[in-house]
Amino acid sequence: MLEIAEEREVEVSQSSFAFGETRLRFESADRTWLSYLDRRYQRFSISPGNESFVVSFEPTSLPLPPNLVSRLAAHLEAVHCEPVENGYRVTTETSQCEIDLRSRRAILRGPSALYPLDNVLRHLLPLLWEEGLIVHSALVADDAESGVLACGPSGAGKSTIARLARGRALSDELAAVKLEERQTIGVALPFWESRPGRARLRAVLHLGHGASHRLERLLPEEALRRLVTQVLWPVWDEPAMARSFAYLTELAETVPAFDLSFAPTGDVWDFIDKEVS
Amino acid sequence: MGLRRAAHVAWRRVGDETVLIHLRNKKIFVLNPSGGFLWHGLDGARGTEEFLESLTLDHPIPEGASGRIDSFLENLREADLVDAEGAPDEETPSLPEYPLPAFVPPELVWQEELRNFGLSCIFLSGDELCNSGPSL
Repeated sequence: MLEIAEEREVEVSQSSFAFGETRLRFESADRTWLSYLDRRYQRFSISPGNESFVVSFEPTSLPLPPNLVSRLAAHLEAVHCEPVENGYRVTTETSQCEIDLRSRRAILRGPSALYPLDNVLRHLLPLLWEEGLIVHSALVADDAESGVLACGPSGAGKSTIARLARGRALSDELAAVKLEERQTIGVALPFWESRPGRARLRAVLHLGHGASHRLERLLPEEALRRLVTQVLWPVWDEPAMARSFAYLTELAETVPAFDLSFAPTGDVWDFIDKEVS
Repeated sequence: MGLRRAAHVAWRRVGDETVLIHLRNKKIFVLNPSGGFLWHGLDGARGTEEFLESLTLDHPIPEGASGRIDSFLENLREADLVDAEGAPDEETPSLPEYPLPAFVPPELVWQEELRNFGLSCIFLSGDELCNSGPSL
C-alpha cells in the first residue's frame, strides 16, 4: 500500500500550450498549479505532442510574497540570470529555474503560483522565438491576412484599443513578430484577453490618449526609438541580442509606423482603417 | 593608429540615423547622419585628420570641426563602442559620401538601456492597470 501511495505522490500531470509557433508542455505533480495555467492560457491550449520545449514545475514550501494579489497575479522580482552548461539558470528571491537548451527542458522550483513562471517565460520566450521579436503590444487583425500592432507601455491604451476593435483583437498585451517570405507577421501570444491568430502587419501604431483621434506618420528612425522600449530583450544572451536587433531594425524599416492619439470612442477603428490602408 | 568599431557592437543604418547596440552592456545608441558617416569609417586606420580630409562639402569646414570630431570619438570610447587596440584592417574600405552639404558636428543623439520585460503587465505588479486580470 505504501508503494502505491508513493507512486501517487509523484504522479505528474501535463498541459500543453502554443505561444505563437512555440509549443510548450508544462508538467507538474501540482495539479492546482497546472489549473492556473489552464485558466490563463486556455485559448492557447493544444493537444499533447510535438512540443518543442518542456517546463517541469516543482512547488516549494516558500511563503508567497505578502503583496501578491492572487496566485494568478503578476509579481516582479529581481531576476538574476547566469549561463550554465547548455543553458541558463534564472534565479529570483523565491524561485529558481534551470533552462537546458540542449535537452529542451527547464525545471522550475518556486511557490505554487504563476509569477515564478512569468519570470521564467520572459527569459525563455525570446530565446525560443529565434525568428523574430516579442513585443509589448496589442495585435488587431483586419481580416485573415492583415493586421495592426498597437504598442505602448502599461496605460497607453492597448487594452482599450483592443476592446474597441470589437472582436478583431487577437491580443491585448503581448505579440510575437516574425519575418516570413519578405512579410512581417504578427502572432498573438496569451495574456488575459487574447486568442490564437496571426496577421501580416500593415502598420505599427504607438499609442497615446487624446481628446480626438490623430495619426502622424513616423520616420523609420523614430519608429525604432519607440519600439526599443517595448521589446522583450534577451539581455543575457549576446547572439540572441544581435538577432533581436536585426529583426527590430527590419520591423522599423519595413512596416509603416504611426503615432496614434485616440479618444476611447467606438469610431476609432473606422478612423484607423481609413487612414492606414 | 585610429579607433575601430568594437566587435561587441552590432550596428545598422535606419533612415538617416545609425543605430548601434552594445551587446554586453545592454544599451542601444543612435548617431546622427554625420556621426554615422564617421562610424562607418572607424576601421582602425583613420583619425580626425583623415576624416576631415575625406569630406566633400559645398561649404568650408568650420573652425572647431576637428575638436567636435575628437569629442565625438571620445564619447564613443567612453561608451565602450570602439577599440583603440589592434592593427588597422588590412583593406581600408572607402568611405561613403558625406551625407550633408555642410559639416554638421557628429553626435550621439540618443541612448537607452535595454530591458527584458518590456514594461509589460504580465511581468509587473503593484499597478492597478496590471492587476485587472482574473483572480482566484
